Amino acid sequence: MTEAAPLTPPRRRWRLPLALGLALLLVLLGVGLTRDPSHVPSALVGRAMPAFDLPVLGGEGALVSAEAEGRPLIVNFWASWCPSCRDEHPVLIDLGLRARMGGEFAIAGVNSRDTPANARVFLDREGHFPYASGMDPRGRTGIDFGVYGMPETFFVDAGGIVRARHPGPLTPRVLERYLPLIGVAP
Amino acid sequence: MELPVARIADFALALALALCLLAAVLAVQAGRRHDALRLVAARNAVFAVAALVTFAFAVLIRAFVISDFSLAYVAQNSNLDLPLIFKLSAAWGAHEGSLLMWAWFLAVLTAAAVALHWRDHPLSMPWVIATLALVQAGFLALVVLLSNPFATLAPVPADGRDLNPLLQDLALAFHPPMLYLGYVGFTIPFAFAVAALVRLHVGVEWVTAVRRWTLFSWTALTTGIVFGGYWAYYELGWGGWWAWDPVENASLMPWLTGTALLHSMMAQEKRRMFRLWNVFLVVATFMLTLLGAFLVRSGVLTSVHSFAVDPARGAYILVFMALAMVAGFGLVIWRADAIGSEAEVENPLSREAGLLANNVLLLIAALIVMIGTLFPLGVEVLTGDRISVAAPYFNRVMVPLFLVIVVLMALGPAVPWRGMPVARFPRQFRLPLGVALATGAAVLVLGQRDALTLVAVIVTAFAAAAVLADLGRSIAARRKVAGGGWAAAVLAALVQGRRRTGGLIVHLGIVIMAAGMIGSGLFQQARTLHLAPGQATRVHDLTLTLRGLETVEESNWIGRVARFSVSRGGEVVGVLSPEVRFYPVREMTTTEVAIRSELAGDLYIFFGGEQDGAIVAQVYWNPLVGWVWVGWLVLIAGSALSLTEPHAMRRRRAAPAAQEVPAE
Repeated sequence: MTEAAPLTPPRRRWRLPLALGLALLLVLLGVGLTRDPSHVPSALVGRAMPAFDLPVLGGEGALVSAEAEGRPLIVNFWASWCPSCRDEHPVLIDLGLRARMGGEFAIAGVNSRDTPANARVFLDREGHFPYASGMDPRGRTGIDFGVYGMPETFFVDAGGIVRARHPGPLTPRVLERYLPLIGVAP
Repeated sequence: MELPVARIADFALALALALCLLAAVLAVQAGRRHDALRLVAARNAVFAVAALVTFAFAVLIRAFVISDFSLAYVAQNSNLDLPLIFKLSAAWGAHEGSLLMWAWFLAVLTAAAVALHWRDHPLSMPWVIATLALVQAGFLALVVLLSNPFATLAPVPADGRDLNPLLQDLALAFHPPMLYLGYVGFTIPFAFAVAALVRLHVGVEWVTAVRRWTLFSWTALTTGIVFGGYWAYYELGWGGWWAWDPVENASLMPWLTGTALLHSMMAQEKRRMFRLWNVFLVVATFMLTLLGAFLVRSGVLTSVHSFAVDPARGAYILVFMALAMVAGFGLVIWRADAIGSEAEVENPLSREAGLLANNVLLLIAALIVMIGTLFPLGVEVLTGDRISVAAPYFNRVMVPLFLVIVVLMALGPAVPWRGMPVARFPRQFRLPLGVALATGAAVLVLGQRDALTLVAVIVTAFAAAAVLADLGRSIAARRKVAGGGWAAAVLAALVQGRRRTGGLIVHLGIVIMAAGMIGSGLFQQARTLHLAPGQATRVHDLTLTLRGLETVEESNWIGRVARFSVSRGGEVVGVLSPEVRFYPVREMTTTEVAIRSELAGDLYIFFGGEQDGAIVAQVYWNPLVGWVWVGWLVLIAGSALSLTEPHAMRRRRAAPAAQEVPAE
C-alpha cells in the first residue's frame, strides 16, 4: 500500500445523510411504482359508456352495447397482433365461462384493428372466447373509448356507467380489484 | 421461415447472460487469489459476451430489414412501407430493442476497455471485469427475462403496425444511440472506481485511465441530448427544444454530474486532490444513468417519452438500481476513512478553488433537477394528487445557476493552480469585462429592460470574450516561445496543447450554445395566424404570403401542405411548406413544421389545421437558435481534439512509480 496517510483526520459526517437520502429515494421510487403509473385516470371513468354496434367476429348479427343494459358489463379490447393479449387469454376464458354460467354480468370482446382471418387463427390456437367479440377493424370504437394500448379492459356497472379501466393484461389480482366496483363478487 | 435465426439469437443472449455471471465469479476469484489463469478466462468470457450480443443485435437489425413480422417486436414497430432508414432506427425505437442496443453498447465498450487497459492495469483488471460483467448481467437478464425482442407472434401478420410516426425522423434515429452510448460509457469509469475502492488504490492511476472514457461518454451524452432537443424543436412543434420533461431531466442529471467529474478529475491528476469526491461523482453519475433508465422504462412519471409500461420491468430495474447503489455507495462509505486528500485548497483565487465551486454548483444543479423531477411523484405518493412541475420553476432556478457556472467557466482556465496575486486577477479580465459592459450597454440602448435578460447577455458576452482571450493568450505564448508566424503558433496550440486547447474550444462551444439558448429562450416572438390563400403577414423582418394548399401522398402517409413564400424587403428569399401528415396504419396525425434558418434566427411555422378555407398556423421567430447546433459542433471538435491526446502513455513515463506490477 503506497497510499499516503491523510494529512488531516477526515471527518465523515456526510455518510449517514447520504445513506438516508439514497434509501429515501429508493423508497419513493418503490412506492411510486406501486401507484399504477400508467393509470392516467381515464376521462371515461364515472361517465356513461360510449355505445357501439359492431359486426360479430366469425358469426352473424351484431354486438350491440344496449343488449347488456341492466347488467354489469366488461368490455375487453384485444387483437391477434398483441403479445400480451395471449397472457390474459386464460383469465378471459375463465371470466367468460363464469358470465355464461351465472349470468350476473356480461362480457364483450372488441377485436381491434385486426383482420378476421388473423383473429380466427389466434382464437383457434389460444381457445375461443365463450362470448362474442365485435369487429372494429379501423379502431373507431377504440377511439370512442379512448383506448391507447392493447389490451385494455373497461368495467361498466349495471347503470351503464364506466367504473374502471385497465390498460394491460388482466390478471386475477386486477379482477379482484375492479369487479367489486361494478357490483360483481370477485 | 425466419424463425431459426431468431431462436439462435435468443439462445445467444441467454448464453451471454450465463457467461457474464461466470466472468464475474472468475474475476472475483482472480482478484482474491491473484490467479492469472482465471483472469484470462474471465477476459475471454467478456469477449465472448461481446461477440454473442453483437450477433443478437445484428439478427434484430436483419429482422427489421427483411420485415420479419413473425417477431412481435418487429410487427409492432415496423411496416412494409416504412423507408429503410426508419426500419433500421425502428430496431431501437421501442423498449425491447433499445434495451438490447444498450446491452450491445455495454458489451462492446466492456470488451474495448478490457482490451485497452489489460496491460496497464493488471491488478485492477479483476475488479473492473467483475463490475462490468455484473452490470452487463443485470441488463441482459432484463432483456432475456422481461423484454425479449425475439418473442414470436403467431399468426404472422401480413404487415406490421408501423413505427410511431413521431419517431420517423432522422434526428431521432440517432438520438437514442448517442444517448445510450453516453449512458453506457459512464459504466467504464464506474468499474475503474470500484476497482480502485476495492484495492484502496485511489491514487491518480484510475483517474488517468478513465479520463478519456469520461470525456467520450460526456461528449456522446451531450450529442444525444442535443439531438433530442433538435428533434423536439422541429418534430413536436413546441417552438422550443427543451421542455424540462422528466425524461429530458433524466438525461440532464448524469450530464451535470459528468461535467463536474470531468473537471474535478483534473484536480486529482494535477494536485492529487478531491480523491473521495471523484469516486463519489463517478458512482453518482453511474447511478443517475440507471435512474434515467428506470424513469423512462418504469413509467413512474408521465412524459412524452414513455415506453410501453410494464410494472415488472420497473420493479426489476428498481431492484437492480438498489443493488448497484448499495454496492457503489456502500463502497464509498465503507472506504471513505482510508481516502484522504494530499493537498488542500490553499487559495480562494486558484484553479482548484474554481473547480471546487464548479463542482458544488453543478451538483446543486443536478439536485435541483432531481427534486423538480421527482417532486410530482412525492406529492402523489403522499397526497394522491397529480401535479406537474412546470418549466417556469426550472427556468427560474436553473437559468441563474447556469449563468453563475458560465461565469466560473470564463474565469477558471485563466486562473493558475495554487493561486495568483489578487492584484493580477482584475487585470487578467480587463478585456472580457470591457466587452461585457459594452454589450450590456448596447442591449440597454436597444430597449431591453428585463434584469435577467440583461444579466444573461452580459454574462455570455463576458464568457465569450474570456474564452477567446484565453485561446489567444495560449497561441501568443507559443508564438513567443517558438518564434515563427501565427499559423505555426495556432498549429502548435492545436497539436501540443491538445487538452488545454480542446478544453477551451469546448468552453467556446458552450458559450455559443448559451448564446443560442438565451436568444431563443428570452427573445422568442410567437404569433397565431388565420390566413386565407393569397393573404400575407409580417414576422420579424420577413413577409409571409400563403400561396396555396396541396395534398401529397407518400408510401406510408398522406399529407396536407401549406405553401408560404417568404420575402424580405420585397424580394422573395424562400418557400416554406409546413405539413400535416396522416399515417393510416396507426391512425395518427403528425405535423411537420417548416423552418428557415439564418444565423440571426429561425422562422418557424407550425401548421395547425384548416378552417373554412383558411389555415390556422403558429409562427415563431426564434433568434439565434441555430447557434445551439453550431455550438454543439464546436464542442464536438474541441472534445475530439482533447480525446486525441496520447495521454495515458505520457503519464506513464512521467510517473514511473505506477504502483502496478503485472499479475504474472
